[in-house]
Amino acid sequence: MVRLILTLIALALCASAAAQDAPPQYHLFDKVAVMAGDNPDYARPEFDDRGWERFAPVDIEPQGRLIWVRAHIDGERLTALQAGRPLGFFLYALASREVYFNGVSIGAAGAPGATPAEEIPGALDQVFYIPDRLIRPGDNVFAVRMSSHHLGAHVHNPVHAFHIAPYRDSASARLRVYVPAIAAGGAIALGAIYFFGLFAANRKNITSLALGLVALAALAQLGAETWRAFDRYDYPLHMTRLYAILAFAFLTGAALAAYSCLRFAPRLAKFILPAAALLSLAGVVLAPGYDHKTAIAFLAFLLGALAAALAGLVAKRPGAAYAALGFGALLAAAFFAPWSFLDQIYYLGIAALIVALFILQIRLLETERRARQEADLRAIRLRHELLNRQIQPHFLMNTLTTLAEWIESDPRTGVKMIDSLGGEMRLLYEMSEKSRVSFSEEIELCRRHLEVMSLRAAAEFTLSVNEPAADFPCPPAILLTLIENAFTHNEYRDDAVFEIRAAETGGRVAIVCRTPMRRAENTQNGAGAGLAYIRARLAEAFDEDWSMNAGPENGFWATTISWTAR
Amino acid sequence: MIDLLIVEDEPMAAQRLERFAREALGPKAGDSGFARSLQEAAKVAPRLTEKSILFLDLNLFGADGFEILKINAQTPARTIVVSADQSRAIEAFAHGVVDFVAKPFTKERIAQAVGRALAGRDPLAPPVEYIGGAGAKADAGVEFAPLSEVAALHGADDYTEIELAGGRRLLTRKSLQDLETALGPDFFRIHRSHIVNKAYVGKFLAFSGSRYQLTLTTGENVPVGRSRADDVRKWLGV
Repeated sequence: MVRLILTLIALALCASAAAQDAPPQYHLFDKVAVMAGDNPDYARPEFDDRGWERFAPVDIEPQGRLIWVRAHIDGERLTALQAGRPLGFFLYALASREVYFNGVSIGAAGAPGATPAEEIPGALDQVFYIPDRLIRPGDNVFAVRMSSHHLGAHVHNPVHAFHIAPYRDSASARLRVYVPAIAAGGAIALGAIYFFGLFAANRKNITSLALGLVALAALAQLGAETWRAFDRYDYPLHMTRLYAILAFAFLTGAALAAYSCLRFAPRLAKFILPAAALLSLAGVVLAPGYDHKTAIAFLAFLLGALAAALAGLVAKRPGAAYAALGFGALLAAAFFAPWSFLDQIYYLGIAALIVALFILQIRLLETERRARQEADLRAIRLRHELLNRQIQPHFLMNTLTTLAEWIESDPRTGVKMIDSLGGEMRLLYEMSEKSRVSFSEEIELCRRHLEVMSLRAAAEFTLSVNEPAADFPCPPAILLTLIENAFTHNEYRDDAVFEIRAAETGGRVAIVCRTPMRRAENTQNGAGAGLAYIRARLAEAFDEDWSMNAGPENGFWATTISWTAR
Repeated sequence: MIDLLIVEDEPMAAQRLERFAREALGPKAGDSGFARSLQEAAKVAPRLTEKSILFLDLNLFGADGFEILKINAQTPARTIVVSADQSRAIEAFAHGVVDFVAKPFTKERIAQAVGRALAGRDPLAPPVEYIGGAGAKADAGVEFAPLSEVAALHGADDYTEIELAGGRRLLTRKSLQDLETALGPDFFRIHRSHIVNKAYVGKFLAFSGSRYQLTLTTGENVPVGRSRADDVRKWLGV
């Protein structure tokens, strides 16, 4: 037993000793020697480069020229790195290059040259295998001949990697970085399908369109980003990829900000969106390096989205708090973890956002479904009310009594009354099916009703209407209701003129209906039902964007109804 | 001669009603009067006699049907309601109208209603539930009282005094004769000039010389007609 414990302790000690002595995973070069120009001797290990300028690898500048770079490493260091594994020289650069190890060529990516014509572009990501047999004790030298004539634009830090590590394919190394982002891509793709589907089903659903665009643009950005892992393209294509990433990041941000504005602060959209776009474009122009440009292009819009969500929070819009929290968290991630933001957090964040919006959207749809159900019920109720009013005994039976008398005392007038009544009923029936009719139809209905009422009272009730510039939509039977109300509250014994004045200016419709005041002393205050009908119809057609007020005016009761034309 | 008063806001309907009513009355038809509003009707109604027929529309330019029924209470005339709204029929009958005709009406239906008005109240009709009259003050309006609050009715010259439980009195121009048929078995005409409600009878007193008297719980003493004493005993079960 004691022996077993001792053995375990020994093993643990060995393991910890082994951990301490574990071979290093890579070797970075602090400084490398750089010389412009071309000389085959520069490849030789024994060449004396002490007079050359020294740079950190990241500052190597091959753009527009042919240069040689020499990097020294001790043989013991290489053997320690090796630890029985093959080694690779990881040289990712926006340049064509030939690599020599201790004077022997170990590979090339394209062919460098002094002029654009002489250079053949090579792959951006390339790992060069370091043959064991070439490793020697003492000084070992990597000599790289490189040139970059085909980028089409000047970039900062064209050398992306310059280190030694156990050999691995460049694609698999790169892929490992993108695994979380690619996984998030699945959720984002589903989001794109779902939200575009929603938009296709209902073209009025602009917020779904915005979300679909967020997902699609983010997916395209992810595609452009991970292209580098799937395809070892030649370095000049890198610019195309960077432009694509930048453009898609801009679009993703713009769609996200648009969504947030539409959803939480529609009235502020005209301030937030241009401001965010301006900030984004300024970042694209001014920021150094494409990673920064891309990050700022997106983050400016994210800031706009956050502003809209905060405005929505103040206005107590549902979901605004969650959205503000999400946008805020993503912004914070960009500031606190900028190194992995674009490659990983960005896509995970977008995916998380899409999932959250899924949930929000489902809740919203449920709320909308309920609202629609209520609206349907209201429409049915209003239709019922409208039709019911016409078969109410007080209207119908009195009209029929008068009609019978006209038919017996003056058949021609009797037939005229049948015509008017028939016309009114037909119009009402047609209108009852709709939530909007044209103003001219409404006037026709009022005229028919006044014809019937004239014959009932044996007086002449006429309608005076101005000719509006153009016909416009109007909720059904609201003016008719005002005229009916007038008959309920006045004693019209003699001829009377009813006036309707309509005007549409600057997208605002205003209708004034004037009914003569012939007050009966004992009328009840029963206008409630009629006015409630008008209010319900206006609310159905224009939500809250309408007004109605009424009062006496030179012997008339004037009711003014106005709304914003849609 | 039977005079007509047509209270109707629609002139064509009024014209039709008058024509049919005059046709039904034939040579008995007297003067026709028309009123289109509550105010006009209230002015004319007191001039009617028990030989008049009053046609009432229960919807006059939006006026309350309940207010319109007060016109009926102010007049001894027989009242026929002619209305588009049949839902008010029960209320009208509860106020003692003789008929209720729905619009649109036929000549035959109006003739039938006129016949009923001439015949007086149908003894098989259910009793009225309300009785209306004007307050004692000159400018007091017409009000209605449920029968349960009516202690007694006292005939005066050309009106009837309605004595209510609280001691208040209402005056109506309806005759005691007409009211008697409308009131139902709880009420009994104990004297040519008095009708009492059984619920308010306190004591039945007999005096020398075959004189009888009821003392009501309101404190009022009401004489009993000599020829009616036996019937009053039977009604009271004493």
